[in-house]
Formats: sequence, C-alpha cells, structure tokens
Amino acid sequence: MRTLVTAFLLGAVAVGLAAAAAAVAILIVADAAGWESFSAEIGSLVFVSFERAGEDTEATVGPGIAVAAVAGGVLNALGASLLKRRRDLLH
Amino acid sequence: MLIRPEDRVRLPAGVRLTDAGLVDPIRAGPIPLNDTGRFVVAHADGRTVGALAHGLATATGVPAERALANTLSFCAALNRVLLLNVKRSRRRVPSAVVALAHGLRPAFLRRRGGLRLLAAPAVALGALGWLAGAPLLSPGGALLLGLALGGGLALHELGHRALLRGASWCVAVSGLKVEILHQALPPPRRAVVAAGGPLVASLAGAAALAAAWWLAAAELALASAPLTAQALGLTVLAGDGRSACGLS
Repeated sequence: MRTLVTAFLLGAVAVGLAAAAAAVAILIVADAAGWESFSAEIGSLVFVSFERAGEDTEATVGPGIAVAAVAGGVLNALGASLLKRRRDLLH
Repeated sequence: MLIRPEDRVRLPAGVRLTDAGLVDPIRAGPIPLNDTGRFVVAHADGRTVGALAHGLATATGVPAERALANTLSFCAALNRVLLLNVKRSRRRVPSAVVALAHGLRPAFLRRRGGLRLLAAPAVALGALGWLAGAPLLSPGGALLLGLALGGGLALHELGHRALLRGASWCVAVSGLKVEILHQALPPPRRAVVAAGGPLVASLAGAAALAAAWWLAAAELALASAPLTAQALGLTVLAGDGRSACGLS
C-alpha cells in the first residue's frame, strides 16, 4: 500500500510540476513573441489560455493542470503496481 | 577491448584490499579474490596494465601473453563493477571517436570518485545544449540552454548527495551517464534520497521560470524546460522514481 501511495503522490507532483511549468513557459513565450489568442482545452477543461486584445494580454493556467496531475498520479500508481507484481513474480 | 596495456589502473578511494577480499564501503561484505586477482589488485597503484601483467608473469611463471590477456580481462571486469579506475593513455585517439567513425555505439570505461567527477559530463552536456540551441536561439539563449542542461545534471546529483550525510557514497561516471551510488539505506531515507535529485533540479527550473515571468524573458523560460522536466524523474519511468517507490 505504501508503494502505491508513494507512487501516486510522486506521480502527481511530477506531472503537475512539469505540466504547470510547460504551461507557464508557453504563456511567457506567447506574450513575448506576440502570438494571437489561443486556448488548450479538452471539452470544458481548460489547461492554458492566452488572450490578446490590442496591447493587453491575459494568461490563464486552468484547472486542467490539476486534473493532469491527478491523472499522472493514478498512472504512476498503476505503473508501480505492475512493476511490483512483476518483481514479486520473479522473486 | 576498452583497456589497453599502456592504461594505468588504481583502486578508487575507499576501496581496499583486506585478508578477506576486496572491501567496498558502499557494498555489503568483502568480495573474495583468488591469488591472481589479489596480485593484480594489490599492485593497482597507478602502474600500467602492462606492468601488472609483467609482474604477474614473473611472479607466477604464466606465459607473458596469457598473463596480459588475464590482467586485461580482470581489470575490465573490475572496472564494470566500479572497483577499479582506469586512466587511459593520452596518446590514443579517444575510443568514442573511433567507435563513432566506424558507425558503432561508443562504449565507455566507468570511473568512480567524488563530486569532482561531475564536472566533465556537466560541461560536455552543457556544450551539447549550447550547440543544439545555437541555430534556434540567440547567443544568450543558447548559453542559457547549455547552462540549464549542464547545471541541471550537476544539481540533480548534488540533490542526492545533500541527503546522504553520514552514509558512504560515490559518484559513478560512464560517458555522459552519471549516478550517485550509496550504501544500503532504510526504506524511508532511501526514498527521500532518490526523490531529492529530480526535486532539486525541477525546483531550480521553477525558480528560473518565475524569474522568466518576472523579467518577461522568453528564452529563459525555454531554457528552464530541461530543469523542470526533471520532475518526471519522480515517476516509475525513471530509476529514481522506482527507487523512491521501493521498486529497485
């Protein structure tokens, strides 16, 4: 159980940190490079959105990042479970 | 054969020969050696492999060619398990260059030591990052990318090292592959040490990203990516993540 909980927490931190950093980096580049408005979303779940109206810009890191972090945690726990089962079979 | 007769061999710091065998502070128990192995290890004090083989042939009466072949293969075996450092003769064209010239994947000797061993791979990785970034980024951006790659490698390993106070450890390098190996630790501490490397590097990336946001510096944001991406080292896809979960 400890393995799965650790794997979930580490996976969530890893994916959350990496996804949030990627989103922020994209927003910084979009602002500096003069990109037009865009949004990355799945259905109504927004990961990152950038709006440009003349001189003004608005950047948003959406709740999709948190969902991605939880999904990363779940996938990592699944992966850990498979590895643990394989290790137990081999030993 | 990666090792040549003119190469010099020496036991890594901390590894010593005792009556029971070869003792390594990061491994449990002595490693037993036969008389030939003991002779080679006892004389691995910076002399050449050729000199060791000559001494072995003289001491045991074994034909010189066989003594040399045995010494070369034994030194290679010890090097693979990080129990012998090999210093290559400088006159030779680097074997990695020869391998690449023949379309082969280069094989590298392993080297074991302290934190100073981090310098060469960090500089090499930084140079590769700079070269990769040069056609795409400004000179300053390419330099930042190189710093992020080379510095990221060093930060990662220093993150592990900082959490190993009181434990035996060493840096192991093979080409650009760098690891910190340490003695067996209880599970909670082992997990913390394993997670420390990716966490330190990725948090440094987050700090660089915050600075990029503050300064509106797009190239600094791009250069922070290799650092923040190290967070993925916490997953079971990477050795550190598996170790943190007690799976390796």
